[in-house]
Amino acid sequence: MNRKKVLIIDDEESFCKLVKMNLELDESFKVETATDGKKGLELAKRFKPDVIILDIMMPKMSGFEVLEKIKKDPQTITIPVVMLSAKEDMDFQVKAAQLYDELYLIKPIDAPTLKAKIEEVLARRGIK
Amino acid sequence: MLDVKNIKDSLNKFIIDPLMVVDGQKNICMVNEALRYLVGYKEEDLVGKKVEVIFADSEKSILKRSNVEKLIGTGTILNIESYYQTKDGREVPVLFSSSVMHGQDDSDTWIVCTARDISERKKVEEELRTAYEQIKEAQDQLVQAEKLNAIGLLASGVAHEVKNPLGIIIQGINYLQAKFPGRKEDISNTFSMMMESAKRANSIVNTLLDFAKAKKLEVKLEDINNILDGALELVKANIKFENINIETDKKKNIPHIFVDKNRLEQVFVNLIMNAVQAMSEKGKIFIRSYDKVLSEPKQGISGRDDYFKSGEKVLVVEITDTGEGIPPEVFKKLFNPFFTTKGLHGGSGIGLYVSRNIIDMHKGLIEIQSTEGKGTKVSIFLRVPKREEAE
Ligand SMILES: Nc1ncnc2c1ncn2[C@@H]1O[C@H](COP(=O)(O)OP(=O)(O)OP(=O)(O)O)[C@@H](O)[C@H]1O
Ligand SMILES: [Mg+2]
Repeated sequence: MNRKKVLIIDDEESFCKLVKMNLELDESFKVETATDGKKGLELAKRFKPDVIILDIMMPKMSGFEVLEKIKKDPQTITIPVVMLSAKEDMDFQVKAAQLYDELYLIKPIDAPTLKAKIEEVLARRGIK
Repeated sequence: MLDVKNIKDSLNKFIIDPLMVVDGQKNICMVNEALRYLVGYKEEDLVGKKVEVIFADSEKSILKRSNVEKLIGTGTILNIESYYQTKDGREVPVLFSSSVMHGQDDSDTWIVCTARDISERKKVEEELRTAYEQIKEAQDQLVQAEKLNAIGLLASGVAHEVKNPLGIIIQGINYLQAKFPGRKEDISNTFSMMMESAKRANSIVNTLLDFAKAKKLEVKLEDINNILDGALELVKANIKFENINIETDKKKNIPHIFVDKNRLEQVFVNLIMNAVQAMSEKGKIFIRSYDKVLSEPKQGISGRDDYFKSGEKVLVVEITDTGEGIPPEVFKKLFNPFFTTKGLHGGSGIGLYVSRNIIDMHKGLIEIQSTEGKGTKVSIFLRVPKREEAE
């Protein structure tokens, strides 16, 4: 069985580490992490993840900008993105839903829920 | 003896303030041109008449028609605000002065009365006062809005700072739970207690955000008519409608919009409850939904900068009742938190406050029109997103 590839972009290093540890518990996921948008975009091209988990509130480049870049680059355009934020922004939520048809999740989120949501997105894209 | 002819000439020529001379019997014996001009009488209309004809019987002044005869002979009066009455019945505010002059004998008494027209000054004063009141009110609203804004900003700032670490803690507990699966009871108990506390901390932050109107909305594309139906069912389940008639006119195939169903349902319940409570015994509630394109811009509430532009497509929900209506002094306070006229056992006064916050979060608008004794109409405007417009 192919391991599903997940890229996490979040400025909180501990968060990245723990989500990675949780997802990799049962061998079905392979996770890479980046703590800023620039590194995240590089990794997205190199690692070619099946799904990207993207934090919105990040210094330097916001998740919003990262999302735009992902959706403008032919190498990454088809990768589904799950937005993750501690801050709820109706405008953004609506925009994300309208433009990209991706999930928007509110922090804090526990490991089983996050895993279920990722699997949901992957299933929708036909990735098993 | 006074040389009447001479005095009259100079009064007309040199005295620009309205002036008259009154004799000991309080009859007018001389008026100048300025006075005739002010009150619109001819000289012969006034001369020989009692002085009171010129005064208005105004409550606003101590010197008036009913007492002027008694007062003006008694001594000098200086700059008293009074009102002259013109021939066509208008009241002109004047600054009135009079002084008494005596001739050779006591019966030979003259009272000289001058009055300065202060209607311009009064008008300016009045304008200033209303302008001041408007500014004061706008400022009060601003201060209130600012306060809530500040709480909102603080709350969402704090929320971000607290929710991120909470997210890490929760993920950490999840990992440990997976690594030490329920072998030892004390360990699994410890994990559950930690998890519960982290979730409790999160729910406290949510309550704070909720009050400061910064809390998340869970939006989905929804049919507003379904939400209205849900709200009606909830209301009907909670109160008896004996003599209250509910009519609905919901537009079919209304565009679906992104809203938080539960919260909007809460708004409709609040508004319908208010309508029911406004009707003591019997009455009618009319609920209507439709969409339209705005023909003029609509300004957001209490100076908020988000507003609807002309040409924008909106969805409107109206809840109209035939209840007691809202008196003007209540109207101003409708949206204040904890404002209620329903007394101790009635309401808590947060229905409209919370409703407005929720509508605000949807970038919508809530409008209330009311006629005392007749009823109230509450309208809610919500944006129809661009994509839906094309459909
Ligand atoms: N439809 C209406 N007709 C007449 N008055 C109304 C109407 N809706 C609201 N009001 C007035 O506005 C006040 C505030 O309404 P609001 O819904 O905020 O609080 P409440 O109904 O008093 O209490 P709560 O909703 O918290 O139970 C009411 O007490 C009432 O005086
Ligand atoms: Mg109420």
